[in-house]
Amino acid sequence: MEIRNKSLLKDFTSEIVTTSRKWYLLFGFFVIIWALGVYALVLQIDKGHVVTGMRDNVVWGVYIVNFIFFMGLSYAGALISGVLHLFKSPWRAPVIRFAELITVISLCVGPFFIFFCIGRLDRLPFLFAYPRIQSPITWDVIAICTDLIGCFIFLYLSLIEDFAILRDTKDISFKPWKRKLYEVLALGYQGTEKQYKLLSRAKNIMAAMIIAIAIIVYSVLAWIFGVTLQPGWHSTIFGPYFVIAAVFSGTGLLIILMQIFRKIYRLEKYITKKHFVNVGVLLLIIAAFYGYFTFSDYLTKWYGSVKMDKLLIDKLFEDYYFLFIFANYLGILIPIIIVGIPKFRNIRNIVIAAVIALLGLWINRYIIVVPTLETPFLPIQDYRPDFIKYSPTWVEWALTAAGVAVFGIFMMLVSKIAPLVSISEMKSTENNKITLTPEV
Amino acid sequence: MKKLFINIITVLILFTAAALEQGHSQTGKEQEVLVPYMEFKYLKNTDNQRILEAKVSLPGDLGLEPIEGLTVKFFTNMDNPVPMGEAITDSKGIAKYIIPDDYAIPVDEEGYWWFYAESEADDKYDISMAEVTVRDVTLDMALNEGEEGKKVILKAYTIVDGEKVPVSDEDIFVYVPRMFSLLPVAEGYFIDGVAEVEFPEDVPGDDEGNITVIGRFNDHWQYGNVEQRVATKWGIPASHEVAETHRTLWTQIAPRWMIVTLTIMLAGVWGHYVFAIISMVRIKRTTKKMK
Repeated sequence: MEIRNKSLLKDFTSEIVTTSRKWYLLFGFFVIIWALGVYALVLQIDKGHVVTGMRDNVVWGVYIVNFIFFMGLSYAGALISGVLHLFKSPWRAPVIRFAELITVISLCVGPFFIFFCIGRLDRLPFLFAYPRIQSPITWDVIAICTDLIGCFIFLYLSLIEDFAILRDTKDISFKPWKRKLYEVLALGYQGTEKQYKLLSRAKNIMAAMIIAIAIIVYSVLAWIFGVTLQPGWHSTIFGPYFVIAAVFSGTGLLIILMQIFRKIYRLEKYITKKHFVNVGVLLLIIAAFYGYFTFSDYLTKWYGSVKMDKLLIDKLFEDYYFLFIFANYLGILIPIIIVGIPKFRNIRNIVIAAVIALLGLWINRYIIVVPTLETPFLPIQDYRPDFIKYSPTWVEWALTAAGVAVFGIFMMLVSKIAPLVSISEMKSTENNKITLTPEV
Repeated sequence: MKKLFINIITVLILFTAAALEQGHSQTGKEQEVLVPYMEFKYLKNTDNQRILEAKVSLPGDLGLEPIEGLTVKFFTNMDNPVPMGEAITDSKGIAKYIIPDDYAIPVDEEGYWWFYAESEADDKYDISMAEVTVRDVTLDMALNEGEEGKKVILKAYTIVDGEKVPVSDEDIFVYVPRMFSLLPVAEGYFIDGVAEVEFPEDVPGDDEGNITVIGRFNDHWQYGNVEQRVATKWGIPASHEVAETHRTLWTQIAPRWMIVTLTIMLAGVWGHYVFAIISMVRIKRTTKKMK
C-alpha cells in the first residue's frame, strides 16, 4: 500500500522519523515529575499511609479522585471515538486518533491510583483469586479489564491501515527495527476489497461495543458510590451523571491535546479552527446536560432534607464553598458562555474553556468524594484536625502529578511509533487528495 | 432653558423632601405593640383533675404562631374575680393551671363555674384575655364485651342543689388516640344519664391489640372538655415491625439474577471481541493466500 500525497504523509510522520528539541524537553520534564512520583511512592510504601492525608474517616482522598477522573477521560475518549467513527462525521479524521489514545492511555494510568490507596497491596491478588460477584468492586475489576481489552482492540484495528501505509512507504527512511515492527503490526494488510471489508466490519462492531461498554463501565464505577448508603453518594442518577461528567471532561482533554500536539507537530493545516469549534460545540452541549444533572442531584438532596444530606450540603456551602462554586457554576457556565457566543469562539478561548471544564470536573470529583467521608454517620472519635478534615499531602500531589506525567509520556511514546492523525481516516474524508493504491 | 433647569431642580428637591419625610416618619415610628390571641379551655381528665389551659399565639404569615414565656393569670368568680393562680406559656404557647382538688370554685346562680384567663402585657405584647363558663359534670365509663359485641357504657350526671341530675339529650363521642389527634370512632346519646355506644371491631391497636378508649365531651357548650380513658385489648393487633431482610450481597453466593445478567453481558461483549480478533486473523490469512 502506498500513499500518493507525499507531503501529507511527511507531515503526519515527521515526529516518527525525527525527534525535535521540544519533544525532548517536554519528555524530560515529564520524566522528572514521574521520578518525583516514584520517590513519593517509595516513601509511602516505606512509611505507610500516614504520609498521606488519609485517615480513619477519609479513607479515599485525591487518589480515588484521580482514579475516577482518569477513568472518566478514558470512557469519554471511547464514547467520542466510537460515535465519531460510527456516524462518519466529516470532520472526525484529525480528532479521532486523539480520542482513541486518550481512551487507552487513561485506562492504563487510572487503575494505578487504586493501588496507591490500598494499605495491604499484598492482598490485591485476593480480588482475583476469591472474587465475589455481588461486590461492586468485583464488577469494577471485570468492567475495567473488559474495557481495557476492548479499547486496545479498537485502537489496534484503527491503526492497522496506518501501519500498512508506513510499512510500504519508500520515501521515508524508518529505522530497520521500526519498519520490521510495522510489518508485524500491519498483519499483512494490503488494502484489498476483502481485507478492507473485514477490517471495516470489525471496526464498526468494536466502535459500537466500546460505546456500550464505556456507558456500562462508568456506570459501574458510579454504582460503587451509588449503592452505598453514604450521604451524597446514594443516588439513582449517579450512573448517567458520571457518564455525562466523563464525556464532559474527556471532551475538554481532547481539545487541550489537540492544541498541544497541533503546536508541537505543526498540524495547523489539518487541525483547524473548524475542528475546535465542532468539539467545542460538543463541549457546550455536554456542559448543559452535566449542569442539569448536577442541579437535579443537589436539588433533590437539599429538598429531601434528610439529616445527613443536609449536613453534607451545609458542609459543601461552608467548608467547600469556593470549590463548589468553581466546580458547579464556573466550570459549567464559562465553557457554555465561551463556546455559546460566536464572538468568543476562537481556538484560544475554546482551549481556555476546556481547561476550566477539566479543572472544574476534577474539583467536582473531589467534592463528591471527600466531604461525604468527612460526614460519617457515627461521630468522629479522634478530634485531631487531620482526622476531622482531609488535606492532601505533597506525597499525594506528587503521585497525582506523576499520573499526569505518565499520561504525557505514553502519549509522546505512541507518537514516535504511530501517527497522531489517522492517515487512513484522512484518506476516507479527503479522498480527492490522498489515494491508497493496493500493491497486489 | 433656564426655566427647564429650574423646573428639574424643583422636582428633584420635592422628591428628596418627600423621601426624607417618609424616612423620618419610618424611623420616628414607635415600636408597635402586638396583640396576641388567646384560646381558653376547661378540661376534666380521667383522674377527675380540673385543668385550665390557655394558649396564647400571634396571627402570622404562617397561621397562629405560639408565644413562649408569657405569664397567664387565671381567675374565677365573675361578680368579684378572685385570682386562682398563674402559669407561663411553654414553647407551644400553652399555659396550664391545675385547679387543686380542695379548691372551692364559686358557683353562680345557675350552677355554672366561670373562669377567666389574662396574659400579662409587656413591651412587645398587649394583654390578651378569654373566659369560659362550664357546668361540672361527672362522667364514668365502663367497657362491656358480650354477645352483642363491644359496648362502651357511659354514665354522666350533674349536681344541682346538692342532688344528682342525670345528663339527658346530649351527644357524646368515643375516641381513640392516633398519631396527631383523637380519632372519633363512635357517637352516643345520653338518655337518663346513660349512653351505650357500640365500639367498632376494626380499629387497629398495637401489636397485642392494646388500645385506649376515650369517652369525651369535646368542647361541649355546657360541660367543656370532660373525658374518661380506659386501656383495653379491643384493637386489632397490628404489627408495625418491618420484616427483617438480609442484603443478598452478604450471602455466600451471588443472587441468581445477577449471575445470569453478568453472564449474558460478558458473553455478548467477549463474543464481539472474539469476532474482531477472528477478523484480524482472517486478514492475515488472506495475505498469506495472496502470497
